[in-house]
Amino acid sequence: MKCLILTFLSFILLSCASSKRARTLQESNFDGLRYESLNRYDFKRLEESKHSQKAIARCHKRQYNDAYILFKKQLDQQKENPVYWNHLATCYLLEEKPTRAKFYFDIALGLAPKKSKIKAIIMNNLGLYYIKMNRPYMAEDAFNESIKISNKFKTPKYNIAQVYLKFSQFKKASKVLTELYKNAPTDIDFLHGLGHLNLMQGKYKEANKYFRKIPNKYLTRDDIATNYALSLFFSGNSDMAYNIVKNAQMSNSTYLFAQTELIKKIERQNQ
Amino acid sequence: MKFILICLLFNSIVAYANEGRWKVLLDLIKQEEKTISMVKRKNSGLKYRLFELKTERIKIWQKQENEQYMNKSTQGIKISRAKAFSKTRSLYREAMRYGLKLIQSHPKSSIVPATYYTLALNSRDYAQDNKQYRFLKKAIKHSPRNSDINYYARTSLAEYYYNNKKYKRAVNLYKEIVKNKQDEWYTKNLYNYGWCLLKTHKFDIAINTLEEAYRLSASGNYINFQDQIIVGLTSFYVIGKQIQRGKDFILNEAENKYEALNKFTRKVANKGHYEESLELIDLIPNYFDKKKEKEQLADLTLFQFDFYKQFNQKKKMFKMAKELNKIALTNDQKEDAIRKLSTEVGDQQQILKQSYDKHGQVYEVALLNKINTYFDILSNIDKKNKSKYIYYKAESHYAVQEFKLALPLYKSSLEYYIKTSGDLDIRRKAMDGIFSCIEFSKLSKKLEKVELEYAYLKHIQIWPGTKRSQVIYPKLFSLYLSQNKLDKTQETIDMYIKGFKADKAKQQELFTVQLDQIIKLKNADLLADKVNLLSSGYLGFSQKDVLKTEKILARMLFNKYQELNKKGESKLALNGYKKIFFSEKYPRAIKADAAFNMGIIFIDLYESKNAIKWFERALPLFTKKEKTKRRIYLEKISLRASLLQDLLNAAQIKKLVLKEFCKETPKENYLTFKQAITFDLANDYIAKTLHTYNEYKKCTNQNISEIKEQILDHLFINSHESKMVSFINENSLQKEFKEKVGKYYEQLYWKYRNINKNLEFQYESRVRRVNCKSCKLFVKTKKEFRKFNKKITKYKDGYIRLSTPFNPNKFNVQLNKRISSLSPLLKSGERVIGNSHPEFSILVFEKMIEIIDLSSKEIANLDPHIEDLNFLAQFKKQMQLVSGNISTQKVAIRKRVDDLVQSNNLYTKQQKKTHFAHEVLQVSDIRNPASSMVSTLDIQE
Repeated sequence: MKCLILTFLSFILLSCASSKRARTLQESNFDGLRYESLNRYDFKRLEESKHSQKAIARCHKRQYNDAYILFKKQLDQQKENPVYWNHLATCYLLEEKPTRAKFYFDIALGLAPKKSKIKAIIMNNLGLYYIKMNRPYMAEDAFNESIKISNKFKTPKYNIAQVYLKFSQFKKASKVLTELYKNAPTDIDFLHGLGHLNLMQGKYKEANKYFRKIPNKYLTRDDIATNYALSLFFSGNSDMAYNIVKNAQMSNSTYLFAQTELIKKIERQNQ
Repeated sequence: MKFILICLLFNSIVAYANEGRWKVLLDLIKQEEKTISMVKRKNSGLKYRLFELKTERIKIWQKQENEQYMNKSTQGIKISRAKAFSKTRSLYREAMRYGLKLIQSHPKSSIVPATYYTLALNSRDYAQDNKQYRFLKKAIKHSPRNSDINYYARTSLAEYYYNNKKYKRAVNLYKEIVKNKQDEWYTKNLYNYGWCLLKTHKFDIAINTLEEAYRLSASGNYINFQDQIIVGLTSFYVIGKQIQRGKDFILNEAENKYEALNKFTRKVANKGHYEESLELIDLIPNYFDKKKEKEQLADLTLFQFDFYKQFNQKKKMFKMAKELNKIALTNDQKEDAIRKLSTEVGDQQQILKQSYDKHGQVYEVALLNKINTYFDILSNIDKKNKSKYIYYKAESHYAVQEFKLALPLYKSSLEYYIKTSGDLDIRRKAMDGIFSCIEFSKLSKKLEKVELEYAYLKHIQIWPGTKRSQVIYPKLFSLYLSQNKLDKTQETIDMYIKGFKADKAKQQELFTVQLDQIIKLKNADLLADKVNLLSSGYLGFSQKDVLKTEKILARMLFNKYQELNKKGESKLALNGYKKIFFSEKYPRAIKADAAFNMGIIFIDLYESKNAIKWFERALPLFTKKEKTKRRIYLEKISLRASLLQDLLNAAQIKKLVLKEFCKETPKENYLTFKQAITFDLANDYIAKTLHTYNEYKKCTNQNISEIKEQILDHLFINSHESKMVSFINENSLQKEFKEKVGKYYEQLYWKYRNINKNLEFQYESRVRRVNCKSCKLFVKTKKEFRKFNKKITKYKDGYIRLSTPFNPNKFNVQLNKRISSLSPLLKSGERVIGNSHPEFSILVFEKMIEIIDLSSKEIANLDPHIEDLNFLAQFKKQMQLVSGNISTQKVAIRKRVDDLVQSNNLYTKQQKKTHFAHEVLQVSDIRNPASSMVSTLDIQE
């Protein structure tokens, strides 16, 4: 029994580790935030991008120590530059060291001029910190502040939509996601967001419309597969739901239970 | 000392012994006198006896007084003979009066000549009053021609003539006397007679007489006078110009041929017989006593030196001097040799100088060399005065202006004197000679410095406190300084201080000059020594001066390592600083700076841990003022460390500052304290944070509420719940931040609700205890929600129980009752919602949905026992309609909840059945975790 638990735990942990960069996009045309964030760049895209040598790129490649050394080397030149501190803080955030991230975000904010683009950027990333800290209200405030300062950025809008989705703020989520979708109708996560939004409101057919627009190769992503399969299931298309969920990567613990349950449910139904 | 004591004791014993013996003798004399006095009619014989006893007494007293006289003379006490021998004289006079009275009383008596003879001898031996001759004459006159008294009186008279140089009278008398060959003193009489003949120029007879006396002396029949006779004879031969006879007699008959030849040769030489003397000199070694050969050879050589001198044979003298240098001399011989050689070399010096002056400052080198050799010989013979002879050598060279040669000799003489001293203190003269020679030698600058150093140093070593030395100290100092001999300059100052304590100003001036030179030479080690010296109060320099020097030292020491560090040789720089820090010689302030600088380098190397280690070592070594200066720097580097992502050490540095300045700067410490906490929190090191807080909160006098709140927020946001609770309790934050603490506790309550009963209960209790505004709403709403829940439970229990057989009327009542009881229940829920507590509102809605579901299902599932199947079907259809009606309320509730959530921007986790996607959520909660969905914004175009 103990052995089984351990195996299961290690499986979960491995899943967690691999899930961190599970949302990467191999093609830039599916990335509506490609000009704002390296977050969804896969390794190849990162390597090929003009940012590849930057410390922040290394952070996204999880080469944290190399990144920090680079940051240290740049300190004397960059210490008055809020962008530098934003990157450093973001790096710590990516490394799951939120308290350090917060410390450097505070420095960045202290250096950023009021209502500047960089302040909007920092506020977005600070919002990420609050999300990590499970403080959705603070995160929302941060994203809103970011959007308020610079409406141009899509990332804070996308992020605030995630908060809204998580806490069932469907109207607000819909508004933001629709806007994003219009700007980048091929963005995988925008499509998934809209699909999820409709699913959560019981609008399965509407949801399916968005999920269908997602290229097949991304349908294996656990979050997409699970959401789409459920939407299909509740819209009466159990077979397709079964196919979708069966093809899921099943590497993300968040969705693993749902996937298993759905498979059981469909199999029971078919019996 | 012991020896002297023993001698004194011995003398005392001897004196005591003599005294006792004399006392016995005097007692015996007295006793005999007493015995004789008892005779009433004393004849001349008894009276003569009394005269003899008186003479005896004189003799004893004379001995006694003589001994006392000698003792006093030995002790250096001067006393006249008359006084010293007063008793003897007095007794003499008494005896003389008695003797003369005796003769007067018995003029015809046979005792008269003897009495006169005794009076004559008494006069000779005890008085020297010139009465001897008269008494001897009377003795001869009153004594029979052939009597003994007559013979003795005449012999004494002859001696009297001889002693009083009345040789002719003596010859006449002795001519008679020597006829008496029976007298054991015959040899003496011959000897005296011989001398009288010599004096009367009868050389042949005189020599014959003495040769006979010499031979008879050896016969054993007479008193042996050989020694005196041979001495006399050697003179007789020379005076009588019978040298060959003398040589023959000595070689043939002299008992001690060496002695006789030796004396004879000297006498021959003295009379100027050069050749004869040489002949005799050659003979002497043949008769050396084997036991005394060396001594005799030395005597001969010494004689030869004199002999050649007598005949101005300088070369031979020099040769003899060299011979003397090879021979072991007795003390007397040494003394003699020294005297002779000194005289000779002194003469030679005179000649040299006179010749030099006379011949236009040209001198005979050979003569100077000879003088040198003489002094070398003297140095060898008279070792203890070697310094003196070397000095004289130097003087000889100086006299002929050979300054360069004289200089080392003066130095050597001085060194010898210092080492062994001597009879003559030549130090001052030698020192004068040295200075003079340096002046006139025209030495090269380099050599001159060497010689001056020697001269100055010797002078101050020998006479550290003289006026001349007072002038020399600064000169010697300058000399050393010009050669950068900085150890010597210091020694010179030290000696100067020892010699002249009052010259502090001058000494300080010298020390300052020395410091300047050290600084110029960049000799950090030495400067460090000086700083230590100054710090110890040396020469009473002010603290300001000490600090100034310390600063210079620091600059000097650190420049090198700063340069290395600049060049990227940090390790070398660190090693250098480390050496300074661990060296005993550097003062505290320098060590402090070294340690601090190491800290700085480590900071630059991003090795903050090491940096702190060195800062910790440095700070306690600084003075208060210095420490304050360093604080500013530490605050800066702490900030830098934090910017370099080294938050741990950034905090450590802050704590270091707090530790060092805890009591001193409570106002300024606030910010340091806050930053230390911020850095620890940034690391999420909670134990460290709380330790920092507890340890250093005392270091500031400012309000630290903000810091407390910062910690509280951090603990909450980062889910350090148990630590947060402890922190709140320990610092009574439930009072200070009532609303916030209440809100936090409530959030934790919701977090653990239905997940962990224990924590749920714990946080509920805490919310109650805090009693904040929101807490009150929570408590109130919770209470009402509980009541609502009870009502639900009760409602659940009141489900429709169908009777058998089925009674439609009864059922209708039951159904109406059941449906109508739902509405008040929902209304009671509405009342809870009316409190506007969002989470409880959602819960109430959840419960409403639950009840509606329950009621709807209850009615839809009613299955009464009805046999009529048509009726049963109708019944079920009706119930489905009722159930559907009830269920429709759910949509409205969901809509209400959605409105509530949307309009109030409510982020709740309690929403389940009220959620639009409840059926989806029943499978699994697939709401995307925002944290994994969100995206960074990190490309800045």
